[in-house]
Order: sequence, then C-alpha cells, then structure tokens
Amino acid sequence: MPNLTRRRVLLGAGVVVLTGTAARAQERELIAPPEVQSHEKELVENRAKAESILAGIIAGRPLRDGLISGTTPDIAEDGSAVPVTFKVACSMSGDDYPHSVHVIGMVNPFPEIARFHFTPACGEAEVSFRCRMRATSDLVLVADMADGTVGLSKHFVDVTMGACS
Amino acid sequence: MAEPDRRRRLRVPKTAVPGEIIQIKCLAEHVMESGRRKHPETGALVPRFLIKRMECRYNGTLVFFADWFNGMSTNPYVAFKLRAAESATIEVTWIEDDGTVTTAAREIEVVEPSDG
Repeated sequence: MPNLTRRRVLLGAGVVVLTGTAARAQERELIAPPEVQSHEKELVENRAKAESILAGIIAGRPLRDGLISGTTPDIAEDGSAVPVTFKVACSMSGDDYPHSVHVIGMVNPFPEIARFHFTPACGEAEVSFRCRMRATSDLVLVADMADGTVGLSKHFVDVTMGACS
Repeated sequence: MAEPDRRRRLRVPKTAVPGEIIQIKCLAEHVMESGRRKHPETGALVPRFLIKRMECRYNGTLVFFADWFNGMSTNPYVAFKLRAAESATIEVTWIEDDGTVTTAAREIEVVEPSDG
C-alpha cells in the first residue's frame, strides 16, 4: 500500500475540486446556456423595438428639461407590479398641459405600457399606477404637450423577478 | 380561464371646495392576460385579454382617459387628479378587449367653505 497519508488525501481532493470549478467557470464564459442566450437576444430585440417607438413619439423635437418627473422603486422584487408615479410640471391651462404621457418599458416584449391623456380639467397631471417589467431596464416617461413640446424622464429599475417569464 | 372578475372600485372624496385638486383612485379587478403567457400544462399561449381603455367623465365631460397595453399589471390601479369645479357625478369606465364596458360612479359635493 502506498503511503496514503491524511495530508495526501486532502491535497488530492482539493486539486480535484479546484480543477472542476475552473473547468465549469471556463465553460460558462465560453458558451452561455441556450435559454440565457435566447433571453438576451429577446431583450436586445425588445430594446430595438422600444427605441423605435420612442423615436416615433419624440419625432426629432428638442427635449424640455425638468418637464416630467417620476418616482419608481430602485429595486423591484416583483416585475409584475412595479409602482410608478409621475408628475408633469405645467400650469394645466391654455395649451400648457400634456396631451398625453407615454410609459415605455425599454425591454418589455410590448414596450408601450400605457398612454395617459389629460385635459386642463385635471388641474394637475399626476398619475400613479402599477406596471409590468420584463427585466432590469429603464422605464421611460414621455410627456407630449398640447403646445407641441416634449419632455422625457428615464428611471432605472432593477427587476429581481421579471414579469411574463 | 376562470370567469373574469368584473369588480370595480372607485374612490372619490365626498366633498371639496371649488378649485380644489382632488385625487381619484380606481381599481379594476382583472386578469390583464398579456397574450404571451403559456398555459402551465398544455404550453399553449393564453389568449390576450386586457382592459384596453379607461375613461373618466366629470359631469358627463371626458376629462381623463388612458390606453393600456399588456404592460399594465393585473388588477390595474390608477390614481389621478381632478380639479373640483361643481357638484356632479364622477364616472369611470373600463373597456375590455371583447368590448365589455363596466362603469363605476360617485357623487361629489363641491361647496364653498363655510365661515367659522
């Protein structure tokens, strides 16, 4: 029997564990599992869709600073109900009111979440609601004013568990 | 799919002074089926079934409305503001994908504050 000491056995076991871990880490780096790949591909496609919707709404107009502000959680544990509040800073008289406010989830499969439409009778353009988010991404709020100006605010939300997965 | 729940909730302050900004809160109990979810057993896509539009009328005039898509959460809740102008009915209407219309209405009394 070769000198099978306690020290040798422990060393050997350590080497086996270490090489195993290294190999697995390497595999992960080289090829992501197919479901991860398709998920990432989907998010890229969704983002492209969202960007084009956003560009369509803004239509090349200059963005007004501080027109719309929003409150979203920094971290949303459940992407299926993310609380959002926004407010448009305007007088709500004449044509100084938001004709519509668009809510866009930048990686949602259907990026446009909602459109809220106001009239001067609202007195204030402030709305709270709950939306779904597919994954960690920006939530974009666009205020499209009756006078033709436009403002935007972007909110990064870290989504722990995405909706519609 | 279970029978859609049509319970509608609407909260409006009972009284307000003229010009006061009041908050209206409403919630519709609804599955808001996005059309992307797969049935857990069969794997077939569950058909889309949403409330696609919500409208608010103050004394019969459309003052606030919204178009919703599949990113709105289940049981969509919305809180928004109105300027109290007159004693009247505040009515909220929800329109579903299949054309079903549900309504909830509340009265608001708008009165000048009494002295003392």
